[in-house]
Amino acid sequence: MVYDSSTHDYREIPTTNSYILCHYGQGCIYPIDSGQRVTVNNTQGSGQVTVTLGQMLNQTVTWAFREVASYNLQTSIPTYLNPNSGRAITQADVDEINRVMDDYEINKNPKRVRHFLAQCHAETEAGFCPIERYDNNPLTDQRFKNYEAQGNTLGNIPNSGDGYKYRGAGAIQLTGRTSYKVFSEYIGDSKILSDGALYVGQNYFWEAGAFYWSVYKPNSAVASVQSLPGNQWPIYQSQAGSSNRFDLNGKCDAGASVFDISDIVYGNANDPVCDLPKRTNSYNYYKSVIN
Amino acid sequence: MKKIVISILLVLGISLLIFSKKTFQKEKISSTQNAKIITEQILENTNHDIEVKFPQFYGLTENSDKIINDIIKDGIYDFIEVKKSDMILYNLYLRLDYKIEYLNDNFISIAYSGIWIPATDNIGFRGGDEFYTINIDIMQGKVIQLNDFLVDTNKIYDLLEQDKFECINPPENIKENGLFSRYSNTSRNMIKEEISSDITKESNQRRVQWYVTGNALVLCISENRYLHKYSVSLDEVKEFLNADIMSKIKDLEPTAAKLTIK
Repeated sequence: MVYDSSTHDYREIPTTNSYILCHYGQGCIYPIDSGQRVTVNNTQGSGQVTVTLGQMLNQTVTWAFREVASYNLQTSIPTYLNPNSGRAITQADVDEINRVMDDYEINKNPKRVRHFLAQCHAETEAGFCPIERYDNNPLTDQRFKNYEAQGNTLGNIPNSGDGYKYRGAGAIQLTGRTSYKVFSEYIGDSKILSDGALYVGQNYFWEAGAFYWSVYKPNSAVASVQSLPGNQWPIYQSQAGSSNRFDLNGKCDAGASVFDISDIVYGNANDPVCDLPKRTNSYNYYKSVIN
Repeated sequence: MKKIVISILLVLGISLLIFSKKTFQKEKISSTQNAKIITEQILENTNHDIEVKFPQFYGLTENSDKIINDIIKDGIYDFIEVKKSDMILYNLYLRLDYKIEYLNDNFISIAYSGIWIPATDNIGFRGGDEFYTINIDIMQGKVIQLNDFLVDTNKIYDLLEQDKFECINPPENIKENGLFSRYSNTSRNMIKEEISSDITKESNQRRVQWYVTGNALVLCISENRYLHKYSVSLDEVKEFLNADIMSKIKDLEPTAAKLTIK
């Protein structure tokens, strides 16, 4: 229980991954950790960055989350609470963002946080697509057939249905059987592999994004890690100027441009479909408010 | 003896390299009263393969087939040329196929669509869509740009923003999800700028492409990883379009419908 000075009442802490704003020190108290960290001036003692609802609520860079209410594995179609529009970002979303950024060491400095949020915003159409869109029918869409074509590099079994099952999901759109398998083992949840994108989009939106950012992508360039089961994949120990071409945090630390980061996340930042101007716009906003 | 064997192997290797560099396959697809369509497939047998099909016409006009064919060929080769560096840099594989969206004696609209995917060693990359269109005035033997066709770009953009264009491929089959008015302000401004200004960008850097099909003008807009197609009846917007080009499209029945295109 905590005392809420604004209502002069005692309240239960809403979730174990929430934090409490300190009335006196302008910081945050994280009940998730034993010993609880207290942040001062939005920056924790060890340099972690915390984003606030105020920073995430903006007219230029808005978020509109569609929540997956249920899904049908036979049709591979998710049912959204509201299929036509997304809801605004809430404090619970911000709590979850702060939690995963902390767990995956993205919040070590503002550069990482700005890039991470800008890429998540673009990759998911501002949260509107927790699961990659389909055109007419996920089972027959050519886009997903391409993901399971002979010789694909996503680990999908050709012509098996892996293409739509393991289509993009989460804040950076994890894609392909290999990444879902590693994520499933990393988290210790077999439904990630059995239900694929539908389950990840419903349950692991931010977690999957942060996992991709700090674990999957950088380690995918490390041969000695690739052969390990997912529960042994580490958070990549990033370094500014690292020779690892997929070390996203390290590249952020070294002052990478939006092009550089988009090039890794999207795969080809020159492609107009990558929408570099939009990613840049989001990044510039976050740069202006996250310091 | 050893030197002879090495020389033979060397010659064979060089021949193989030259031969595999560019292979042309010709495949007859269909024919009509006055046109034949040939598909050429470019195959570059490297790690960065590019497979592109494009049409060539024979007997389309009395004496301008070569001009039209060269325009088509140059257009797609220019598109590929710009893509090549990305294919090599990112180790990608590009496949493009085409569809003739409109064809009469005066005007051709061709839309190319396809994908780029990682060839090897790019774990976790799923690739993306590619799209490119070319519109040709047959009689004048020149490419028609969007700005040639639109004489009042502001009006056309206004209609787009007012959702008077219909999204013919709305995501998840939900009409509202394809509405142009739902684009972010940033995106709308960028698209407005592209429609309203002279197109000087390389064709592969355009976010807005276009073609004519049946009695409709279709604007193809890249947004959020996807290509959205917005269609409007030519009759509804004819006052904002170039009258000369319109006459070439409207005065003659399209023959594309009669073609059996792969």
